[in-house]
Amino acid sequence: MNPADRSRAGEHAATIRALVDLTRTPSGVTPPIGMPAVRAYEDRSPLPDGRLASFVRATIEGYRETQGLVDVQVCLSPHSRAHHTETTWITLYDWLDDEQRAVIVERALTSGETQPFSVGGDMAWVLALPIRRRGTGTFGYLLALFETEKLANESEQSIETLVEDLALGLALRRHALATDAATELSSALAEAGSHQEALRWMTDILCMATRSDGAKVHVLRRTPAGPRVELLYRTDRPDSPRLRHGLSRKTGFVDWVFVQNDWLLFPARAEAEFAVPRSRSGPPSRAEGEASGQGSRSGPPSRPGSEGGAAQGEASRKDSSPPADSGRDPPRALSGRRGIVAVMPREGVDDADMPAAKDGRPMLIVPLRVRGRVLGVLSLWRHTADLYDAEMDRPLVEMLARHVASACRWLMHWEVMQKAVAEVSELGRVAAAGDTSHAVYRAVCAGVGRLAQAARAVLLLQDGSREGYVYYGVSLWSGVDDEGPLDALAAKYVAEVPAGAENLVSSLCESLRQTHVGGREGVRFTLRLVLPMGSLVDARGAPAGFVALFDQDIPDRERRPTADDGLGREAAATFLEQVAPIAWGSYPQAFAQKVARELSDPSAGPPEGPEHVLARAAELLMNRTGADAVLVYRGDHGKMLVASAAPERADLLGTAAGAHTTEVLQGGRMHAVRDSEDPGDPFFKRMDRRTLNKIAHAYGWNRVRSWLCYPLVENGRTLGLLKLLTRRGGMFLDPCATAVVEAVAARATAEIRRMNRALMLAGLTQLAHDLGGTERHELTRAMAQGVERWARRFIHPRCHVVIIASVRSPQPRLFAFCPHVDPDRFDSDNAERLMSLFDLGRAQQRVEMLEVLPAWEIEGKGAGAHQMITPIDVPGNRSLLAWLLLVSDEAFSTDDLAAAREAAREVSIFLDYEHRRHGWEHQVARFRHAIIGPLQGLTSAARMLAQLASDKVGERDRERVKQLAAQVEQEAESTRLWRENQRIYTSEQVEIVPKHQPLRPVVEKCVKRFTEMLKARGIPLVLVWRPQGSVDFAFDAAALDLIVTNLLDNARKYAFYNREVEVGVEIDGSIVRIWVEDVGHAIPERIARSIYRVGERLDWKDPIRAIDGTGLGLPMARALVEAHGGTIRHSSQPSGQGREKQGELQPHRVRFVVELPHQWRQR
Amino acid sequence: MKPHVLWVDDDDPERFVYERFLLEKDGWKVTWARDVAEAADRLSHEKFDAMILDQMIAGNGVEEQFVIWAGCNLLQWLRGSPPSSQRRRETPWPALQQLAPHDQNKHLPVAILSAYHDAEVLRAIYGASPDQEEKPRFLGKPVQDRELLKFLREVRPHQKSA
Repeated sequence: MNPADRSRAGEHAATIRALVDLTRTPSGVTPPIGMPAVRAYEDRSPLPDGRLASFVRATIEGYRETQGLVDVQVCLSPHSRAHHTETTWITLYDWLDDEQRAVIVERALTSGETQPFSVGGDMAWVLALPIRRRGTGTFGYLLALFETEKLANESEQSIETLVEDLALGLALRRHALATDAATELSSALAEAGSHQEALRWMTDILCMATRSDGAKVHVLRRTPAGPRVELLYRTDRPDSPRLRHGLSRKTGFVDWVFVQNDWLLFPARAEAEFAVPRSRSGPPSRAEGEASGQGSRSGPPSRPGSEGGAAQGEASRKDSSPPADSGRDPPRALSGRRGIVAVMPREGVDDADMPAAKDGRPMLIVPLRVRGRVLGVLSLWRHTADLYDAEMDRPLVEMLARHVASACRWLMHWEVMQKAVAEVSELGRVAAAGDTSHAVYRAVCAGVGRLAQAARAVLLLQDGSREGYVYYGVSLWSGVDDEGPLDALAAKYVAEVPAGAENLVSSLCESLRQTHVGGREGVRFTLRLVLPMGSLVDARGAPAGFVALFDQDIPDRERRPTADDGLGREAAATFLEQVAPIAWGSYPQAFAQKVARELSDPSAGPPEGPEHVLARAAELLMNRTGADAVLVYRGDHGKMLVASAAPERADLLGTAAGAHTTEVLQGGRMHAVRDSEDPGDPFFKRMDRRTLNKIAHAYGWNRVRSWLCYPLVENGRTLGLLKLLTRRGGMFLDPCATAVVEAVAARATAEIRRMNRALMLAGLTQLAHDLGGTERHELTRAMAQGVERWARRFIHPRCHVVIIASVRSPQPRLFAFCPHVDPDRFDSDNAERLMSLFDLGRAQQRVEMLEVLPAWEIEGKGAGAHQMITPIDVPGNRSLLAWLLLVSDEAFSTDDLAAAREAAREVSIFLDYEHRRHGWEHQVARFRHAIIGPLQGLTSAARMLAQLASDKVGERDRERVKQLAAQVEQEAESTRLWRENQRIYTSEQVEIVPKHQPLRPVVEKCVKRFTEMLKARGIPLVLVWRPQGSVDFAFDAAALDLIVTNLLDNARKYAFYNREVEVGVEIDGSIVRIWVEDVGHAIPERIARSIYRVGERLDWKDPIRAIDGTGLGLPMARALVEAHGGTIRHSSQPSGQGREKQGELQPHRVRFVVELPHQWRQR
Repeated sequence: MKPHVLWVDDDDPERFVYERFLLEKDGWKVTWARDVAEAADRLSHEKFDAMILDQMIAGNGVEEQFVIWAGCNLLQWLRGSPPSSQRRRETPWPALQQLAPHDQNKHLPVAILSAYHDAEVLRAIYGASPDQEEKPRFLGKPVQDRELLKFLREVRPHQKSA
């Protein structure tokens, strides 16, 4: 080995040793995972990177033996140093002082010398070389000093090898540094507890890896008002709020980076790539750094061939002028594609541009890209004068920024997912609150809009009743501003797609683009996209609905896609897909049932009647469906009238339903017209505009937009009709409203049915009560009329009732009937059917039919009508066969039949009663006939006997014959009296037949009748007749007889022994006064009124006698007197004769006075 | 020519021996009919001046409910009243459907012997509104001779008791 080879081998060995030592040196990046490491960084303790200088020293030491070498001096550029304290010249012999070195550096940098040049008057020849590798920036400069030019030229190759060795080591060192930082960044993202924490750690790592003093991260986010720049994190104020500002094309460093998708480096100087330290004594002060920065503005151009120089040269050509309106020069920065550019900072203390790069602070701003699109911006800055290197620092930062971009993307993704969860929660809250279905639609619409950060969202639901696909906007959400009633705007969205459209979505979009979209002046919206409503499709496979998302067009506002567009769209689509099956699947039914249950809310009190139920349903529907008005119609197919309205409108009550409503009613099922002015609607031409306009006018609307008719039909009978309306300019009635109406109507129907049953039973109870008080002669008619009234109320308003019954006859007969049916004609028209019906009844076959076919003939009314029949069963009375026949022009239901059964059961007892009464009447009549016949014969014979006797027998026998005849007459009189009394007693109906006749014979007959009876108790009966002559006026002799008889009977029972009873008659003006007076028990005041009522008797106990009685005497007397138009009263005065007893037991003079009006003739 | 009275009663005429004595003494010719068919037959062929009519007239094979209102049915037939009651249509006496009353008998003064109340009988004859001009007179049983003679003398005022 020659000396040169030996020397080269020694140089390599030294280099390899230095490299080995260097690899043993820690990277200098302490992972800031955990607080101590972070504190270590913040404490700014020197990092153990002195070995870098040792490596340089050891390497150049290996070249000490190079022939003619005087000295080697190396200066490392800032990025190669772990800390600025290491920025110094590393020398072999320290041959140059600072001034000499400054001169050499000045010459090398300004002249770009590559050949040896002499210094110090040929004292030495200098080779000045940059330390660099292919594809990297300049790590620093090396100055090799030789004794002669020749030796310098001969050693140039050796020195270049030295430079390569140094570059290799430094590159390895830099590579290791970047690798460690990237590893730590990955660890930070993986191990951080939250994305925010990861971001904090990553910025710390970046600061350490790049020796930066601060970092901040901005992202560009979609907002309803357009893309906005948002500060995500900054190291110096980690807890500061996330400030946002609109993306500007003109101002702001960060905005510039977002817009240009390029990096910026401040300050913009060529020498920024390599700052030569001027002093060995410690780090340069800030003032020095600034001075250096300013001083270097006029510095020499970079060496030819360097990238930085090339960039700078290009930047010089492209240098753009600052805006004219700036009062001062805008800061200049080096950019990647545009060279040196002047960027106008944001005005004021805008956080985005702080700290102020314009003040000369070193700052590097790089875009955070994901798939080439700018997601955010990373800004790094230093408080020192150590400038960032465009070739060394910038690539490192850009490489590491990918990790930050990833963290930002995941953070945004996480936040979007959090928003989606929040939206689901909000939707759940709204659904639980359950004001209206529209609120849920609105929540869905708003949720999609918020997640997609749209300016406006419209929920479109398909109207399944049309050809083609018509989507109505049922809900609208606006994220930009309040433009008044959004529902009114929603009403304008009608997207129509022709049937058979190949691409439904694109056709829908085209339709929506043509739809006028309201907004303030100068504000327009552009359709961004439509999202189908999950997998819900109709029978034709078309989506059941869409959410259309719009962006706001704002003049002079930067519009560009943002990195979170995809996230928002994906989140919105996922959200819609998740909630759609709930919001349009199970929710409407659940909500409808919930609303329907409110109809039976017990806290609202029991409904008073079907009308009340329907009125309550109307109010409920108005509040829960978003309808602007709900009308309730009542009536029947013939005529439906408005019975109630919500909100109340008195002028609408009684309004007849329009022709279209009647048509719906006849169809018997719901019909909805979303837009009454849509000519494509199949119902359009059949709408009764006049009626609709009348309603709209009553409510003060312009016109009607949507209407929905729901007939309440139960078992074929119409209970009513619900009509929901929205005003023009209002919203559409959505499909959920249909579900709610259905549920509420079903509940209302059930309520009405239940109520009708209760009312029906109450009606029957009332009927039974009324019939119970009916006089007997009226019972049959009252029963039939009552049942018909009841049936007309609870079964059908125009039905007829026929009660068919037998009365102990083999021949069928109408026993009871309604006034609307002529029984004779019914008998004759249906003679054969009646015969067979009674045959079946006698055979104990139950005849009950919901629809009697063929129908019974009922005066033509029943011909072709609906009839049902049910038997009236009377337990224990097998001789009574009866049926209840109902006739109506409307079909009967099974419920009607059940109701008829109830009625039949209720009236059966009265029918039985009547039946028995008839039988009893017949028995009595037969008995009367039987007894009166012989009596007539006896009387006639006696009279004949007396007649004969007066002619042919002697005086004594004649007297005897007369006595016998008188006795016969008396018995006959008793029989007649019995007949009259029986009539009045049994009829319970006061029916008198006044005849003009003399009063005295009637009174004398009564007195005569009681004289002997009272005499037996020692009571004389005295007749006081005060009128002169006979009193002849119109009265019922039997009734008056009964009156006086009852009063005398009372006197007989209650008079004390040995006291007088007086019967008196007098005329007082226009009345005839008759009195009966006795001395006996008092009539206490407390019962003075009640003794005239049936069943009331004196409540004292006679210690001596048991006084019997029915309690009928005085009530009957009073009824008879009043039937004559008269009055009856009494007085009860203590009699002076009873000394030994006081109070009620004291003898009282009791006088009953009857006063009858008369038009009398006195003779 | 003596005035002619038709007395329709299913009872034995002997039970009215005194009344017949009085009528004949009063100058009346009394013809007795024991059932509805006989009465209808006589009323369709002979002219009478008055009729005493029992309400309950039994007959062979006639059911009880028809017996009760037999007098009423006969009177309805005589007056030619419209079928206001179902009972008229069910009459078991074919004579009432086959015969027509003598024209001069249609307004015959009638006194009804009834154990029923007057209003009941009127309703049975004329239906719900018994406001008829030719209302019958009502006489109870046993017959009061004074009322009987009063009725007949009102019918024939010139006919004075001998």
